Amino acid sequence: MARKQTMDHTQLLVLSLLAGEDMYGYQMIVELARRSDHTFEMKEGTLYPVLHGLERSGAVEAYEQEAPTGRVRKYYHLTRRGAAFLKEEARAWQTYSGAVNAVLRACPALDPA
Amino acid sequence: MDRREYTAQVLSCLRRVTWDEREAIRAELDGHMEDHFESLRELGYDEREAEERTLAAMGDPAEVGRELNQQYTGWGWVIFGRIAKLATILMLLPLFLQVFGSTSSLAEYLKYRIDPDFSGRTLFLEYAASSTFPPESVQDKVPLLSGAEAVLPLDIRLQVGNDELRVFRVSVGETEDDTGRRFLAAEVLAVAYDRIPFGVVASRRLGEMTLTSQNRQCTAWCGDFFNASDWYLEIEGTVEIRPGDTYVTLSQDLYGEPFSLQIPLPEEVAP
Repeated sequence: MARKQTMDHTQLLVLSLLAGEDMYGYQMIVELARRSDHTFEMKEGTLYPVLHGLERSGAVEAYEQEAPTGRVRKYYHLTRRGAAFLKEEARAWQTYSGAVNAVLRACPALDPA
Repeated sequence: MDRREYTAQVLSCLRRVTWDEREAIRAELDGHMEDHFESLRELGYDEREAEERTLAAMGDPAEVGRELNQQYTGWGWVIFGRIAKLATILMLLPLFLQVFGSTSSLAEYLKYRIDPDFSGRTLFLEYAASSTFPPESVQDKVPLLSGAEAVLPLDIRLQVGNDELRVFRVSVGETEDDTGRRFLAAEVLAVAYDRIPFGVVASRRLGEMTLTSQNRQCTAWCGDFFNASDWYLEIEGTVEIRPGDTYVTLSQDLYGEPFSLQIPLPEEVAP
């Protein structure tokens, strides 16, 4: 169960990154670390099973583009299906995190007073 | 473990991917690691440190491979692709052979490209001055090389248009013409083929050249004697020489692109 949660979080984070612009794998890793102030520093290889899973489910689509250095990179683009999935997952996450926060707020041991 | 081995370990876990998918994954992982490696190098890490940190950041290749493998669940396209490839090859093979020649000429073509002087072929010196050259059945003739016979293996290459002319042997020996006159002659063997593998060689261009003796007094036709395939020409020419000659000249002046090639003779013949 914990494993599935982790995977779902990664999917959510990846989709949210792609909502802003098309990105390639390494760019996502760098951007994720920057936006989370280095809280999310995943093992970089595990990004690709997530990306390929999203691609096969139709949430993202990939295309190749040549960088100025001549290297061809595989960019990922959020599809309409992916955008809808992102909204749904973000709402579920907010509900979940809201519930966790509510429980924590009611915890006497965490009361600053 | 280096980056190449990392990618290989990931790919070794994939069971249900097509060849294209496998190569795409390889390129993507290699590209990612290259990006990370370059970033670290720009930060001042030396190559070894940058390599180690890049690999450490990627995580366990077996785990990445297992998780990737779970994303590729269908055998359908993999099996279909393999059957389609096999069927295509089987369907095209007869057509390929019909258009370009038999399997034996294919084998000979490949040998010519790798090592032209592969077979120690029969020499045709006895037909040097024959008016019927090339002979009707070259395969049945016995070479007439006696006395001063000498053979020099060569590998002289010349680009002629889109083709490559490759002189691979020159021999010197005594022969006689139709009137019974005996004389010293040099025989040149060459092959020509398109620079692009299995391209069609320009037979009209390289099928007729001129072989000239050192003193320019003797000239003979030099060209393909046996049209075995569109892929290559087997070229032969024999010209009378004088004792002490050190070279003969293979030349052509057609289509505004003349060329001339000096071919050394075996030293043993020089008196």
